[in-house]
Amino acid sequence: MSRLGSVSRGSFTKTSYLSAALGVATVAWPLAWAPGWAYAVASAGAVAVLAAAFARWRPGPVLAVAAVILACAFSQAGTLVLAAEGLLILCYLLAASAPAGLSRRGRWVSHQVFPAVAGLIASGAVLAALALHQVSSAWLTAAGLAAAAGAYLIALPLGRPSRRSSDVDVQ
Amino acid sequence: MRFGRTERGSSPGPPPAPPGTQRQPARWLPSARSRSLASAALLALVAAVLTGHAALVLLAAPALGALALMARRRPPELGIDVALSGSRCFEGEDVTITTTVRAAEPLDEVILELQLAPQAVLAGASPSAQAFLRTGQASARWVVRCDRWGRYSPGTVQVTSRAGALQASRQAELDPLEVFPRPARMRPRLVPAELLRRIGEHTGRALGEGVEFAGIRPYLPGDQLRDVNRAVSIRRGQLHVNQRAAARAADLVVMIDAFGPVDDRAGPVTERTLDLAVHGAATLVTAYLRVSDRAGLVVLGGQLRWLGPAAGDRQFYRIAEMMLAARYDSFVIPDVGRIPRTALPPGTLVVVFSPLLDPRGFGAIADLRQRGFPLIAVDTLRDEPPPGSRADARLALRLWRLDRTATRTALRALGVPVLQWSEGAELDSVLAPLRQPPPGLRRLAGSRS
Repeated sequence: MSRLGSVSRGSFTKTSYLSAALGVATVAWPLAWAPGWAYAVASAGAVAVLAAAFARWRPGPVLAVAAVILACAFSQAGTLVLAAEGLLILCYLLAASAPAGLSRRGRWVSHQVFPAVAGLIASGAVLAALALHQVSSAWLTAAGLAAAAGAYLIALPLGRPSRRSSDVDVQ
Repeated sequence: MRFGRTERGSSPGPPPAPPGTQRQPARWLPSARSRSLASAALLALVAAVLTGHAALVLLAAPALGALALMARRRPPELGIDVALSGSRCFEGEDVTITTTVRAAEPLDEVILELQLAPQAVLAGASPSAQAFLRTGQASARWVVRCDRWGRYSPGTVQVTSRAGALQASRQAELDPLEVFPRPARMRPRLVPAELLRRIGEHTGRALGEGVEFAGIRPYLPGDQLRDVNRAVSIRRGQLHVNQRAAARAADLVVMIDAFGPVDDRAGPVTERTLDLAVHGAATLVTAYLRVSDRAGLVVLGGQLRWLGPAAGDRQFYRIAEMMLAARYDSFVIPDVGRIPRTALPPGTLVVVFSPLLDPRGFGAIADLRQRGFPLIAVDTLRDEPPPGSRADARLALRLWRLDRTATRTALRALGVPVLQWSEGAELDSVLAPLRQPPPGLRRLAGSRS
């Protein structure tokens, strides 16, 4: 288990509060359509959100999102609800990865518009596809899985060291 | 002048590395943001496949869209320059740390975070972490206050830079700082009976050209007219002149008993006694050097080290540097007879700061006293073993107290006054009883109250 970062009370920034608020909203949103046991999962997700926001617990955001996806998978939520949830997840993950010590938060927020718009477009495209054909084909899910694995591998070149190198001059 | 460490990125034709250059490859890895987005998308897609609920793809779509927008281009070169405003300071003084990161192309994010050592605190208004967005050059400045003497690095600077979906993180440890103990103010009023022939500020027993009144005698040809004491001359009907005491310099050697465990094995009590000894030594040395006396240092810490008495500000820094490395682990019994005569001149006033716990320290003090040096021992131990609840623990504590009393009595029997430096007391007040010796006792030093 990852160690919690040591942070003082004064180090809580507005970005931390924004991240916590978005995380709690993300966790709470699908509960209206979710079964009863999902509340326990959501509570664990909320704890992960708070730990990530105020104690710099690095796995927190991903665990919170996992809890949200678990709750959504067994919920009766419609496509529009899930689309909104997907956008909330994106906003939360962007806020959770905000750098510490930001002095110009407005500029940082303006930089997050581009990934948010990209997410909106992707979400719209999927919504359109789902509106055209209500699919439940195993072939499609297998293709989706392969695409996900491919995207994951492309996005995460783990263990591939860069050819770049730097030197350290001790003066 | 630039101190510290400079880290620079490699260039297509890097010049040959000078001696002392270390080459470390920069590792660009997926950033935390891209990892979390990719993980969330993957989880949602897996859930969609496992449940057969195609609408769950909607949870993954925004994250995948944001991931697709992230550039995965070749990261630019990085040059990291970390500099300290100085390499020496006193306790409580501020030191400025400046870190500059340069890149050939603008980076999405550059985060400079200072991780301080336990002995240092952030003094300025700058936060420990500072983030810069879309910039090719970022510079952060921190003001750090070192609260503990010693030779240590004030911390490390963590540089995290993100370019698209990749990020690189580097740590640059700051060069060690020499933090000298801050001496307290005191007046050098303890002097040995035998003063030097050099002119100084202490009142000697011999007559001379000082400022202190020493007596009256009849006028002799050659006497200065300004020395004539008019009142006595009128009363006696004969010219009388005032005599003045000679102003001489003194030699002082401070001895630090640094026996004990070192590094991780040193407990808080050991650290406190050494801390007290070093501060006391710094206070004494500063006070005597300020009035043109000569001061030296002997460190009893397994390996015997000494610095002969000398005058001037430079001597203080030499002594302070030796004190920074006072702790030295060894089982050697120091032989003070090895100290050369120039380092411990006869008649020098020796002040020993010791917790009186190690028999080797006691042996060295006794040896010096038997060689005729005027000695003063300052007990730096302020703690006692925990009393415990068991009867045998209380008995052990009583025995320990008796043993310490016996040690002090043995030192006093040798003619070495032992002064307890209690909590909250200044060194000047600790040494005050020796300036006014009780009647009937032999004067240890030639000080005049």
